[in-house]
Amino acid sequence: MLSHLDGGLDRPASAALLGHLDLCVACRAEYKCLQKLQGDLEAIGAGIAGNVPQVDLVDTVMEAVQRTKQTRRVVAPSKRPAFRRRFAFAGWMGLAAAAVLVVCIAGYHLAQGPSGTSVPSQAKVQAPHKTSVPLEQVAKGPSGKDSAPSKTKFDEIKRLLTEESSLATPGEAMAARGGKTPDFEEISVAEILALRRTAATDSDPDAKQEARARLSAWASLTEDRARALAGSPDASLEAKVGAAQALPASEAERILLAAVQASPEDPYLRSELAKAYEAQPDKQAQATDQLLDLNRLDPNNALNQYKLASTLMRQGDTESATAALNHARSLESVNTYAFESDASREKALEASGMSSDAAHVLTALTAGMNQYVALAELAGKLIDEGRHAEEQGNLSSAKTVYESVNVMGSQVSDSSVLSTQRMAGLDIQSSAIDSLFRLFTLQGAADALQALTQQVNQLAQSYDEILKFFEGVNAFFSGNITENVLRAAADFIHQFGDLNLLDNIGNFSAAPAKL
Amino acid sequence: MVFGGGFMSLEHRLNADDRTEASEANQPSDEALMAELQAGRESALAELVRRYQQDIFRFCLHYLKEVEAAKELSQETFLRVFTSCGRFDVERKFRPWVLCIARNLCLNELKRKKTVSMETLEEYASSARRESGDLFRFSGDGPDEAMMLRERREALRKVIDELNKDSRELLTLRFYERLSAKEIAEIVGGTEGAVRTRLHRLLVSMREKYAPRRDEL
Repeated sequence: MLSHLDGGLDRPASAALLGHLDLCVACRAEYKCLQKLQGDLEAIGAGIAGNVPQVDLVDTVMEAVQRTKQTRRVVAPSKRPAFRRRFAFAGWMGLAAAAVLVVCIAGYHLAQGPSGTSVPSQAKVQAPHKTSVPLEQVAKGPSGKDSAPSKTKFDEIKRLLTEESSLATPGEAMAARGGKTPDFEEISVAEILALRRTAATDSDPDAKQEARARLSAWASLTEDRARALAGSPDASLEAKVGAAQALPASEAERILLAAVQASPEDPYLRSELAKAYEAQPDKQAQATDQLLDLNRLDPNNALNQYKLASTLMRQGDTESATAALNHARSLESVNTYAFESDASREKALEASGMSSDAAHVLTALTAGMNQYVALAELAGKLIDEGRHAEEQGNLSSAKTVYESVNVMGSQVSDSSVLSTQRMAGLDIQSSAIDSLFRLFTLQGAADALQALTQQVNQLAQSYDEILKFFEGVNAFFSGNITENVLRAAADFIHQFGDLNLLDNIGNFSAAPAKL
Repeated sequence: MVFGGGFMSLEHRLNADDRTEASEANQPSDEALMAELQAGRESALAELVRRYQQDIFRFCLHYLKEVEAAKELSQETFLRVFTSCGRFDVERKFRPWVLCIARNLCLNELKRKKTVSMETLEEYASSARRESGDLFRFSGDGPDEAMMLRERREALRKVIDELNKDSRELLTLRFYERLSAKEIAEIVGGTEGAVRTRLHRLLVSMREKYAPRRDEL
């Protein structure tokens, strides 16, 4: 009966019901009762509607629109100002690359220590605190007094880190300067070392930046080179997978699909294939399928759940995305597959003509750069979704997303053995906390803001520690670095990451056996 | 004989669709206006405000009860339409989308104020009655019929007041705002089927407490 009253019955069912009502007194009475109930509810609604005052909002709204546009012009020249400001992509990438390079220089001193096995001890740079972050009133602690490190120091550290290197993305910096990547055959470890020395010690900031940009460019395939490699019948599948990193998603997809078919249980390959699908708007369903497979292969990797959540959100499946986020937060570790990625890139450089020696060193010096970019993009997408929910007034969903990104930053940092990943984690937290800060301010959530204040101070400490780490490595850089030291450092980084280098100086041999 | 004036009567459906039908005949549809807004033509927003300002205001008033607060949230809703227009899918309906924005803004506002999220009907009806003299109009009814209606609807209001806030919201969206189950699902989240189920359960539970006198049937 209710379905009929609601217009939800089709014609045959309605006819059957009407026929029954004609014959059954009890049902007819019930039907009339329900009918009156709905009629009365409608009448009450109409009564209320009839008493609602008339409003004219057109002028007010349009004036507000004009004000908003003016504000946007002043405050937000880009589409995602907050995120880009925080991640400062190119700068951070350059910084990360510089950090690795700086670490490699430490190898000189590592080589001075007694020989021994390269077993890493705990990273000297402390893992960032679980809690994280932000800003303005953050400078003051719970007591209202300035706490150290203060917001000012936090900002100063970030400024220093950002200014440390203003590298553009590989290739971009070279193109901007009219530079040209040399033939890979010509690149030697000696040249890499010389360039790295310039990048760290030259008194001319432009020369330092130029050197860093050149190193970044050398460490990556250009699109043309990657395409040539992908089409080469002689290249190994692993080298082609490395080439896929430099190719547009649609071209990378073909290589990665073949690789997954050859090694269906390899989580790194699944991850790369999912990324290629995800970059193509019409292949979101395939991306989801790959991520589900990836979660089966690597169920304890929180990063895969975050990727899945991001993909599901874009497909509008908020419920599943939220479940994925919650699951991700319950996991402890993040694996970016950086070692696998760098190994593929190394093979691709080799297959393109670079000496294996140079390729090994270059990929070590830029270890995790692609993962930094991927992590930042993933966090950015999630924060965009949170922002979208916020714009829709759904602050609860926005809070869930921002908090999840914040946790993701912690997980990335805590799982990191590469400075690039540590930096990514810290910056992800910073970005998430910016969003949470805005949200809690909007909600007037004083307690939550207070907690964020404490997190800001802790994040500032983490930034401070990574800055000291870079400074510590740089302290070795003024000395003479031998090629063998650089090779030894590269070996170590490829095996254990760069964050452990400083603590393992004593374990390095001055002349590793393989050299 | 028994199929005269239920809530989902033809009249109601015409009311619900008249905006669409009118737009198909003479004016650009809401979705076409959104497409124009996405292309940068702000005059499209002005037209959408004209079309929906009263609906949005009344909708917000259901939640907020205060006229000025409802006005502010209505303005904010349209501002969000402007700032978020790039995310609107012109293949979907504008009306549930904008109501979803309004609802979320209202719920946030209520949470911020730490007040009850949905006003009771009685409170609103009482204030409306004070303003207008009589909430319900019984034109065409005789004195006895009007009295019976008044008594029945007063009893109904008491039933409504006993509902939890989620049920009252469902009632408001369905019977006061005359939204379809599909539209409600889009606004509050969930599926059309789930909304229908909730609605049916709600009406059945109300039916048990609300019984017109036999001579009224």
